[in-house]
Amino acid sequence: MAQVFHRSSNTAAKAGIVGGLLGLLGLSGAVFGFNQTYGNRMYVPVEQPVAFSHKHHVIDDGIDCRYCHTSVENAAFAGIPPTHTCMTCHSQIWSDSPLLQPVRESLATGKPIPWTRVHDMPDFVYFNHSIHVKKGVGCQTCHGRVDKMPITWKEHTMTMSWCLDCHRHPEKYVRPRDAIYNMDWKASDVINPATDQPYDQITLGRELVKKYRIRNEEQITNCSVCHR
Amino acid sequence: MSEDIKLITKNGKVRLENGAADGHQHGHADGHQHGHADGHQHGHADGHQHGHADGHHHDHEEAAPANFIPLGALTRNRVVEAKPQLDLAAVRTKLASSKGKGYWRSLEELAGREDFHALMEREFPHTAPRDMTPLSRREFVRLMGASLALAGLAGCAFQPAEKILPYVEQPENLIPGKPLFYATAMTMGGYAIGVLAESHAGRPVKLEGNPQHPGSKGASDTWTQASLLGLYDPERSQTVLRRGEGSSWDSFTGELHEALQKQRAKRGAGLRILTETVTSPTLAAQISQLLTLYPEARWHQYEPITRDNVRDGARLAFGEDVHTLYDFSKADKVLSLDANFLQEEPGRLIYARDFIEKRRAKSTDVAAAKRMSRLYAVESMPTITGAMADNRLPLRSSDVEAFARALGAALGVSGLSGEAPQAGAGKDDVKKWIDTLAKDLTPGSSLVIAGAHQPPVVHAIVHAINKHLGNVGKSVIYTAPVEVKPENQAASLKALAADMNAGTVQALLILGGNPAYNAPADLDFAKSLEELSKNKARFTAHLGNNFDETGTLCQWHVPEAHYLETWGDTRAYDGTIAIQQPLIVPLYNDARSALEIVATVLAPSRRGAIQTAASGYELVREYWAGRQSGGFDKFWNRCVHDGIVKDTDVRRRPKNVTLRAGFASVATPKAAGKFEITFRSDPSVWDGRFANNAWLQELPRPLTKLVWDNAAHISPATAEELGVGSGDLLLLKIGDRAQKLPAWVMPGHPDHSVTVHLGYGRTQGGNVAKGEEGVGVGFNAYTLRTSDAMDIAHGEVSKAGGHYRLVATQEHHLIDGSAPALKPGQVDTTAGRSHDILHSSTLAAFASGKYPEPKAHHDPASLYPPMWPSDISTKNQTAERDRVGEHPDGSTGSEKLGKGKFDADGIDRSHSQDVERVVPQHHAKPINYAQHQWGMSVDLTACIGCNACTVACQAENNIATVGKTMVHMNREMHWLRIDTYYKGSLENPTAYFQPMMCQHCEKAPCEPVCPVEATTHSAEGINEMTYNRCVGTKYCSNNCPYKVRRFNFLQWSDQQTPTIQMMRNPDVTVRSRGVMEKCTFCVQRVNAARIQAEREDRPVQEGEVLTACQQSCPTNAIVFGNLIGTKADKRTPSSVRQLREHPLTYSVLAELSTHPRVTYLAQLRNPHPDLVTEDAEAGHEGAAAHGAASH
Repeated sequence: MAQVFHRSSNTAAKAGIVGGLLGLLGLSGAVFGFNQTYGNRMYVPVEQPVAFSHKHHVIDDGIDCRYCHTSVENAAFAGIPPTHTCMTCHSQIWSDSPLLQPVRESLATGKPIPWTRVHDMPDFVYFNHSIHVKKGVGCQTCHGRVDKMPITWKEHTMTMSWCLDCHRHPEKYVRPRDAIYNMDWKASDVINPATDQPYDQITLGRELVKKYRIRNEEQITNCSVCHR
Repeated sequence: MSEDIKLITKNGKVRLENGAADGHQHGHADGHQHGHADGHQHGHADGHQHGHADGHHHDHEEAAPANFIPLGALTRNRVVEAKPQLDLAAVRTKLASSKGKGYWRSLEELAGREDFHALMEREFPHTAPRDMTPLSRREFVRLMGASLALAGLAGCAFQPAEKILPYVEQPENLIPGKPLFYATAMTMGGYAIGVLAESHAGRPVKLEGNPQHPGSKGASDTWTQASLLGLYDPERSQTVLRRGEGSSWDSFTGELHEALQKQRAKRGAGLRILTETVTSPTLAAQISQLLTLYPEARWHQYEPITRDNVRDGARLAFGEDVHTLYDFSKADKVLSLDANFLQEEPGRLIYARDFIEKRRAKSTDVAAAKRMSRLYAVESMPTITGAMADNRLPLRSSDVEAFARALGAALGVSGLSGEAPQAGAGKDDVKKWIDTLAKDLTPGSSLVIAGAHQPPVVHAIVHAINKHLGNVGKSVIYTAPVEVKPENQAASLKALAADMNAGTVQALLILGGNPAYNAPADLDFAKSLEELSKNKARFTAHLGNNFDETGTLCQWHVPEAHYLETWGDTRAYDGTIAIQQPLIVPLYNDARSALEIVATVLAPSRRGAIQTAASGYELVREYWAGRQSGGFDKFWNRCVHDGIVKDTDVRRRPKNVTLRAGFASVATPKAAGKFEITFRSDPSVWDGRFANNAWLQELPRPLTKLVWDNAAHISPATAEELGVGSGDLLLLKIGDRAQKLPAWVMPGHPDHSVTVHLGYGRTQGGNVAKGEEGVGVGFNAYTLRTSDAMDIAHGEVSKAGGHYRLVATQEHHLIDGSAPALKPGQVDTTAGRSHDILHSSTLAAFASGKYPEPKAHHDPASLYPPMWPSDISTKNQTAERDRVGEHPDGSTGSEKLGKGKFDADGIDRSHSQDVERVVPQHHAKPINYAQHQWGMSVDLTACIGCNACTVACQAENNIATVGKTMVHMNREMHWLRIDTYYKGSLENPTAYFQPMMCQHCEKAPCEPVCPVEATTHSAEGINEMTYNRCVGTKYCSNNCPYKVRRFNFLQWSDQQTPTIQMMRNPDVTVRSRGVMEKCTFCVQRVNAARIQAEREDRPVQEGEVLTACQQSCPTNAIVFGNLIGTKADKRTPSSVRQLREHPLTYSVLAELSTHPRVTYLAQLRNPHPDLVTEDAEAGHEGAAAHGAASH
């Protein structure tokens, strides 16, 4: 009986299997890459009841992060300003801007402005701002260049592996405490007194980890550090 | 399909618990606006109907596998097959033999029944694989196939957007995400327990004792802890009701005003006010104002758990109203005459603390330990006080009077004579007791106390004995009454009922309480009230927190504001006045306090318009402003801040009293009837007021471990005589009143006596109170209680036929302490069990150095590093110092520690701690130890088994309740349980309590078996449970020798009911179905303290982290802390470290080498050598030998 398939179909089949597997790998890679940004909703400006621009308030007005996010050094929650804080300025300037109507309404009715959360951790994650700030993690490290965001978006994946990257190697990210609220800080801004050369992040980071007594990797990657 | 064989599925009925892990970081601004939502018809009530309406009824007659428990068995009307009767004769033989010297858990265990062994072997013995659905495995796989195929898609959804609601005007001092603490007070039975309430964004989420309050000193009890759930109970009454229909506050005040106007003309002749016991100065002032305005009105008080006997006894002895305070810190010898002073007295928390402080073997100093006090308990129903006694005599409650008279005579108290009663373990025993007591009750440093349910004459005799012994002014202090109007409340209510029947009552205001349910049965108060309410010309109103039996019978029902919602003042057992400060505005607009109602009644005279009555705040403030000259604001702020008004206690103003002659001339007549029936307050629901509180209903009652029920407690011999076992229905008859109750065979109960707990069988007042069957949890014993025999009655008891399933947790989560020789298959577990679970001995053995026996060390070399450093200055810890860095004060917290008995590796090899490892000092790799190593020590001498820790843990950690059916399946969720063991004879065994929670083993058996690393070990020694990783294999639980892991078989956490969400501790994840959970050492508190300390660049100080159980404990039995830390002086080792060095320290199941971080201090008792029966002596000595022999 004649062969149904030509000899070359063996090669074709093998190529098909290998190609198929490679294709699948590539596809999953593409999906993963896409999901990192799309799936985690990175770079998506979040619509808010008031079109609040961090860019305007930070760059143009030079307001410090802590003017509004008052509890960032004291509590788990950095704090969203009460309506009253907005009105400290906006009762004087832009006091009749239609953009600020919801703010004035909030003050008049006593109902809070319902902001939409941009960085939404799962409820089983217990993140604490105060200790991160104390240990030398700058705002910009996690939140990105908020000072350049007209409407705020998420700059990082905020996945567990992203958190662990820093908890395993804090030296890659920590900065001096006086630079926490500096959006534009680089390790090379600091001069290493030992060499008189600008620092690189790892060298500076290692010194700061020691100086700020950041607990070792084993300790700060314990599950109960974040999950309770 | 039969109605009673139905499944309670996850929509089931008795769940209150639950909720989303709500915004711990969100800082909702909602505290005060929240919850006006009319959640009336929602949630709980809804869920309840669901169970029925959804038709989760399945017929199991055929489908059920052999070991399926038909849940209908719980239905009371259905006669279920009883377990085979226990052969008590065999049990006695066994106890008499050498095998009976060990500890035992239950009669079933002693009987060596097969089913007991099955309980031990199987973690969930009542759970068949197909327990919840009648599906076969194949069907299940087929149905699940589709779900699994689609499961991946679920990951594609985005989290729904979440809102942040900031404040409009942020309150001063409030940092979103940080709790604030406010002092307030909870009142029960008129007496207050000071409370420090933790408030998150305006919501109280946890209650602790107020350290400044003399009735609490930082401790709390089960009721205080559980009262939080009372605030958020979705079934609380929410609106003003007129004849059961929704109405409004204005309509109520309108009609009240009309009724009052009629009364004005009659000088209030038809006006009656019924309250519970009142100690509040402001309310008292209001009521007296009311009585001035309506001079012929009457004010009645009624409290079903009455202190009438106490009041009458004092009047009998001294001819006037006298309040008695006890100072247990001055008592070396305590005699309790049927008094459960550790649980039932208004001063219980302080009594417990002072009592235990006299007993704690604080140090290895034997001389100090020798000062241990001795407690003699003569009691009927075994209570936690009896369990703590060094010598306990079971005696029928009605024989206590004869005992007291005989004791008085033996002591030479004039006016007393009498023979020892013919009861208990025989006349000789009682005689011997009296002789011993007469010798041992030391003048001036002893204390005799009688139970509140004992007749007045017993109290009078006790006053005489205390006086004779010279205890007055020392351990016993007499003062002026703390109550506003001490009176015989049963008589007061009787007078009211008589007036109601006579038609003289035209307007009746019932302010709190539930007399329609709990009044003495002979008054038929409910019927009188119903008649009165039917008369349109009359006015009846009820203020209550639930629309209960009384509320439904009144014309008007007004929701009562919870004490966390309203201002008030109240007095502690020693008279100290506490300001009751609200934590939140009332959840429901219509809610009012008794104060505000009385103010409304008074309003016309004050303001002219009834609607503008003052708020509670104004009333209390005004009252105190009138009593304070100058600087009132400062005074007021201080009172509110501290929670107490300084210098208001009566202790410092003792009263001189003279004993009347003839105080004991009238003996209580012996009533007819073979059986004595005693009515007692329930350790969980008290008088029934907590019946709708699922935390308390599901709390295993001390000793019996019953949940969701009450029972008729009888002795083993009486059970034999009646031919019944636990759960068999008994018919109790007093006169012409009869009530069926299931029997509960209670070792240590005297014969021919039945103890019944009140507060069950509620027909109104919420679905929790009504129970899974909707007919009320348990059985209503008030139907048997008459005004002439409120506490001790006599009647007939007979077997009623039929069986009722009582659920007790005594045989749940059994720790298998079998010696290796006794392997499964051998049914007789008595001899080998518990040999390394519980250690106890006597003071005599401890003081003479016989216990604990020094053990030979066998320390084979090990290559493992030590698990935690004992002395941070040893070589292998230098790395730690480099890593952690020097502290500003130059220490690393623990480097100055003394060496103590610890070896260089930090492990105590001196005593009962079994350790087989020695650690070479030259590790190849330096170890990075964490700065804190958490550990806990539990003192078994100090644990009184009161259960406060269990409820505190439940509140702190968002633990769900599961309902009676689920508890029957061993599915209760408590992270912390009080294991109870017995030793000795059935007639009078010694009881032992052992709080058992996750032991946080260094070498935890649960950790290596988890396939997903959901349970891991932290660098600080905490065995962590990561819920979001858990896939529910339950391997960890299977592998846990301590049986402390709990699995969410169903979705028990309520995630819908809004008020329940408000109650959640935002710092703890709310677990959902399919997740394992267990004690975490309150890791949320540890983290909060560590973060605070790290922000301040210092180690966590001693006392900064208190676990919830530790904080609530009245006797400080639980100590938690850093094993390598120091006290504040940076020199002395931490308390927990010191306790670990204590010679009495041991680990449970040490031979398994799990190295628990929780250690126990062996229990010491101080029995009088003359009263130790052969049996008990063998037991005690056995225990002493035991610990050693087992190693």
